[in-house]
Amino acid sequence: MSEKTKLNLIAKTYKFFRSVKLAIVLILIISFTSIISTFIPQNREVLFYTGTYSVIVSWFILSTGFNSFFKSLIFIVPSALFFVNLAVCTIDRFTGRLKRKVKKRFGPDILHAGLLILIVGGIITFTGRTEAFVRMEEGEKISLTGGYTLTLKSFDFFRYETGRPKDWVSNVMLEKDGQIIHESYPIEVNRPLKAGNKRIYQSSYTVNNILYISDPAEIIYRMKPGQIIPVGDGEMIFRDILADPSDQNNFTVIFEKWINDESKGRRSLSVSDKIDIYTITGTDTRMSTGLRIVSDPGYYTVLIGLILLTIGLFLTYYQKLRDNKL
Amino acid sequence: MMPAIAFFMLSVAAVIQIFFLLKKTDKADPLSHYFLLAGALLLLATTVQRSIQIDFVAVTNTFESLVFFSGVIALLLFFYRIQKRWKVLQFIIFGSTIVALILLATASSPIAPRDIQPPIPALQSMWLVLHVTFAFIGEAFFTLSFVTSIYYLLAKDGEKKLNADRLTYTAIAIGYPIYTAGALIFGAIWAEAAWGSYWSWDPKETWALITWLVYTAFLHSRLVKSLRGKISAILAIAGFLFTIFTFFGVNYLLPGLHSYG
Repeated sequence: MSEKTKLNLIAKTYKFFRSVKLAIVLILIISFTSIISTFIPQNREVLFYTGTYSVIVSWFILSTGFNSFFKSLIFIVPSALFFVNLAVCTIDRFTGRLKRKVKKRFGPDILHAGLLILIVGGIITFTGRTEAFVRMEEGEKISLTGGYTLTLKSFDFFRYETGRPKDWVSNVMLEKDGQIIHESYPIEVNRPLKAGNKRIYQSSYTVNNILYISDPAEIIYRMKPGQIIPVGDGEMIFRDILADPSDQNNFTVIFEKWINDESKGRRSLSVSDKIDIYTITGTDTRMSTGLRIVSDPGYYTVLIGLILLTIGLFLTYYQKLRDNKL
Repeated sequence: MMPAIAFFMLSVAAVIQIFFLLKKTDKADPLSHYFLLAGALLLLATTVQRSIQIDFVAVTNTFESLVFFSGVIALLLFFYRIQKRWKVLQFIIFGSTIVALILLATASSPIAPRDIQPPIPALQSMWLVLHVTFAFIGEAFFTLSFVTSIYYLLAKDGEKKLNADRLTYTAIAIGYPIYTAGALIFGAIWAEAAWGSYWSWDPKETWALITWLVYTAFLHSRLVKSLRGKISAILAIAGFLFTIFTFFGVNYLLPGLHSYG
C-alpha cells in the first residue's frame, strides 16, 4: 500500500468517524437493542430460555447474546464504535474551534470529554471491580486485604413508630496494621466507610437464633444454625429454633441427624433435653449485620467523568443562553 | 384534599383554553394561566405539607412523584404563558395541561397509594432528592416538547410549524441538562453511596439511559439539516413516551431496584 493510499484510508476513516449522522445511527441502534434487552430476563440458565420461549426465539436470544446483553457483542460493538465516534468528533470539534476565529464555546467539548472518561471509568469498573459480602455479629473481627481489620462494635436496627425500617447502623472499628484508623464509624445505608481502595456498605441484616448447650463438666457452648455436634454413630446438625408465636418462652429446637452422609430425619427438642452427652440449657437471638465490601478501581475515573459531564452540560446551556440561542 | 382542588383548577384552565381555541381568535386567553398557577401552588404545597409530615422531602413514592411532576408542569406552563404570546402557545399549553391532568388522575388511582410513609433507609439521601426533583423538572420540559412536536406534525402553516419547532428545541435544550443531571448523574452518585455501584443495568436505569439517548439523538439531529423537522419531532415524541414508560411501565412490568417509585 502506497503512502498516499494509506493517508487516503486514514482520512476516509477519520471522516467516517467524525460524522454526526453516524453518532445518531449508533445511538438509535444502542437504544433499540437496549429496549429489547429489558424485556428479556438477564443472566439466567440456558434451560430457562429454552423452557420459556419457542425454539426460534430462544435460539435467537442465546445466539445473539440477548440473555446477557450488556456483556454481548451486540451491545459492546456499537458502544465501542460510539466511543471512537465520540472521541473523533470531540477532537475534531475542539481543534476546529481553536483554529477558526469563532466564539470559544467549549461546553460541548467538556461534556463529550466527560462522557469519554465516564465510559473509560465504566470499562475499568467492569474489568476490575470486586465485591465481597460478610456477615458479622457484635464483637466479631475480620481481616481485610491491605492490612485492614474491621471489628463490629455494635449493630442497631431503628424503626419508625409504625414498625417501618428507619435505619441500620453498624458501628465498626477500623484498624490498619494494628493502628486504629476509626475508633467508631457508623456505617449506614448511604454512608459507606472508606478503607484504602475499598468501600464498605451497609447491605442487610439477619436475626440469628442462638442455642446454648452444656457438657457434663457444665461448660456452656454457643451454637449457630448449621453447626454440628458429633454423636456416637454420626452427627447432629443444629437447624433452627421455632418459637410459639403466642408464647415466646415456648420453643422447639430442631436438630437433624446424619449418619454417613445420609439424613436420618429431624428431631424436635426442648430445654433440658439431651443430645448425647450435651444438655440444652437455653436459647437467644442475635442480630448480625451484612456488609458489602467493594473494591472499584474505576471509582474516581467515573466520578471525574460525572463532574466533567455536569460542568459541560451547564456550560453548554449557559453559553447557548448568552448567545441567545434559547 | 389539596391535589383534588388542584385537579379542579387545572380542569377549569383546560375548559377556558378549549373555549378560546374553538373561538379561533388570535387573542390569548386572559385567565387560564392563573388557574394553572393556583393548581401548581396547591400541588407544590402538598409536597411541602407531606415533607413536613415525613420529615423528609416528599418525593419518595409514586403519588408524591406524580404530585410534584404535575405541579412543575403547571408552573412551567404559567411561566411560558406570561413570557411568550405566540398563537401556537395556546394549543401547546392546552395539550400540556391535559398531560398534567392525566398525571394527576393517575395519582388518585389505586396504582399510586396515598399513604404518608417516612422513607426507608435507602431513600434517606439528599442525592435521591436531587435525583428525583431534577429528573422531573427536566421531564416537565420534555412534556412541553412532546406537545409542540405533535403540533409540528399536525400543523400545515409554515410559520406555526417553525414556531412549534423552535419551542420543541428550546424546551429540550433546557430540559436535557436538568434531566441528565437528575436522572443520570445524581442517580448514579446516589446508587454508588447506597449500593456500592454507580450503575447496575437495572431496567429503570436502562430505560432512563434509553430516554437520555433519544433526547441526545434529538439534539444532534439539529446539527444535520436533513434530519431537522419531521425526524426531530418524531424523536421528541418518542423521548417523552419513553420518559413515561421509564416512570410507569418499568415499575409495573419490569421489576428491579427501583420498585418503590
